[in-house]
Amino acid sequence: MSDPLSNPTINTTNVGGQTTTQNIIGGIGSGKSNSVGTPYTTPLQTSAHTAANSLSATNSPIPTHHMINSNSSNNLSGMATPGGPGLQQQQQQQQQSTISSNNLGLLGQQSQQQQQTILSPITTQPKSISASCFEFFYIEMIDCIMKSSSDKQHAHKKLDKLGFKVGHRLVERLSLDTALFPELLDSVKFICKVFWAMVFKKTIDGLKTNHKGVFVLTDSKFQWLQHLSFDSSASNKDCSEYVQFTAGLIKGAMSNFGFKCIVTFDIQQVSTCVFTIKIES
Amino acid sequence: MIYNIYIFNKDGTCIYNEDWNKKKQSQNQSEDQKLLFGMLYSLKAFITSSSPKKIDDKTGFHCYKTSTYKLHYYETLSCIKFIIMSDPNVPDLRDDLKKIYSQIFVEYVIKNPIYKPGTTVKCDTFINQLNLYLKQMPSFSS
Amino acid sequence: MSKKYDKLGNDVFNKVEKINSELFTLTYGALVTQLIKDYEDIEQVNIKLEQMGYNIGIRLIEEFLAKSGIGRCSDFIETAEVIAKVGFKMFLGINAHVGDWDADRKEFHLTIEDNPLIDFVELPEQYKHKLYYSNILCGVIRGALEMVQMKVKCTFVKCTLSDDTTSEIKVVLEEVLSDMIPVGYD
Repeated sequence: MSDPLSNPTINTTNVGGQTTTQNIIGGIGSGKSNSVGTPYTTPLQTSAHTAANSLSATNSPIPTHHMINSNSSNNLSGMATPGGPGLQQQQQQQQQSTISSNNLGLLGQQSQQQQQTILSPITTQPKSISASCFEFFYIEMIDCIMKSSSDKQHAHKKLDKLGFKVGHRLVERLSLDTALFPELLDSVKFICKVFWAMVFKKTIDGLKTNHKGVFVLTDSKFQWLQHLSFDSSASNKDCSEYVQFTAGLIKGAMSNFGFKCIVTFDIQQVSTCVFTIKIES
Repeated sequence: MIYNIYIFNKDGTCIYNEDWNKKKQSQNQSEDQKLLFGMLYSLKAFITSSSPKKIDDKTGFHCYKTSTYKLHYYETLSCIKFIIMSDPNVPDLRDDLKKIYSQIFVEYVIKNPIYKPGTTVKCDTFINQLNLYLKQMPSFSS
Repeated sequence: MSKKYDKLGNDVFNKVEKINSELFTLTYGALVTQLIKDYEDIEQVNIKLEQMGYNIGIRLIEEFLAKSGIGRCSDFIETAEVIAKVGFKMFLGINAHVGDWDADRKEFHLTIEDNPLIDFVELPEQYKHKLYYSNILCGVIRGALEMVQMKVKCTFVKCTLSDDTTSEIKVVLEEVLSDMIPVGYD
């Protein structure tokens, strides 16, 4: 895939073409991730196998132009425990890094620092739980939020906020091996494919855009509505609370890419959900 | 021919009941349901006490047959009782009842966020899936 | 007996549809944070988590019975093995161990390894030994067992988040419930 923004004069060297994973604990890390307003100005497209990690940059105190060439998983995780940094950042990096010319000196320093604080290599296996376990938890969580809110609007706000937090953090963990997204469309595509697959084990079925900052994502078999059905006699067939969390997820994910947006959704017949992302410029 | 299905929860409430192919209409549905539940309770107690060997009260009783109908019974360890009444010639439907429990009841009732456990089942999808399943059985209308 | 349930637990877990645990970890974390904000008293948060777990447990048991095909357990010891080897395995994909039985065989400790709920979580000092972060699990066990006629009390006695070496839940059997007698039959 040709990247119009790649800089052909920067060379990458890989360490024998293999991945070395190294763990740096506590060396780099601010407590929170900062979403940058605009996408990176000097993205690097090196080889197909190695890619700059756009998000690790946002989480490090290193200026945002700095790119780290990383081909392995970066465990950025987070549970925000109140009053304390719940985020532990472990960055696994290759020995050689490709950097933009601005920060050559800084990165040189940084790499040395990193190498000094390297502990033992860790390979993380993705952990699985049963899908029904989360489904039961989700049902109860929505119920709990609905009951603890004064009205439906308040509940939706809470769910949106919750989804935002989770989406924001999930995307950090997901986009480790991914190239930078020079365009907004790529970020949205990432959500449609990788993000959606991680959460729902399927991809978005349809994506439309007007190329002016509005995207329409269609999921024709929305997971969390699959088992939901109303009584035929029910007067109120509103199940939006079961989808609001997902709108928050999308919003949080987009914000971590640096885009502030409004996400609305529409539940169509059976279990089709249409999410509309409107970028706030 | 399948005549009807009853699902009882552990406190004796009939949470679902549907009839097909029945020639005689019941006078008082809730009375019938209470009678059925009570009868089954006594029957199970009797079966357990009169059995020559130790028998589990939930899995011991499978079915009974009269001249006009056969009653098939399946009770889960969570005390949910599935009962189908059919004509006497229908073979044992215990396996079908197990499937109805695990593939239809659990999926479309228990996993339905709208359904509150312990209440009557009225979920559209469950009713449709149940009917689909029963009607594709060869013994449904024969 | 343990081996049989080990195998069953693994078999069922291999068959069920799975998802990445991170979504669960992060969502649970965000929820606990929300609860701490909503309730001023940490004890209330513990109670709420347990209550939520109970509501989950009464549904979860049906899925458990349907998917595992487990029959009736002959005694509470077997029940404990089933919870640890099949229950925890098939839902959370983790291994749990039963130990520390009391003399009457009515109380045991469940040691949990690798709990996905606490991945990457660090409790601030003021919550250690006060907040039972995974208390939802106690509620799930209580709710599930109540549906199969056992009234139990579950409490967290040790938690790695509070600097203990292991995470342990104490399960005490209070009462075996009998089938409800229909109205008019007693």
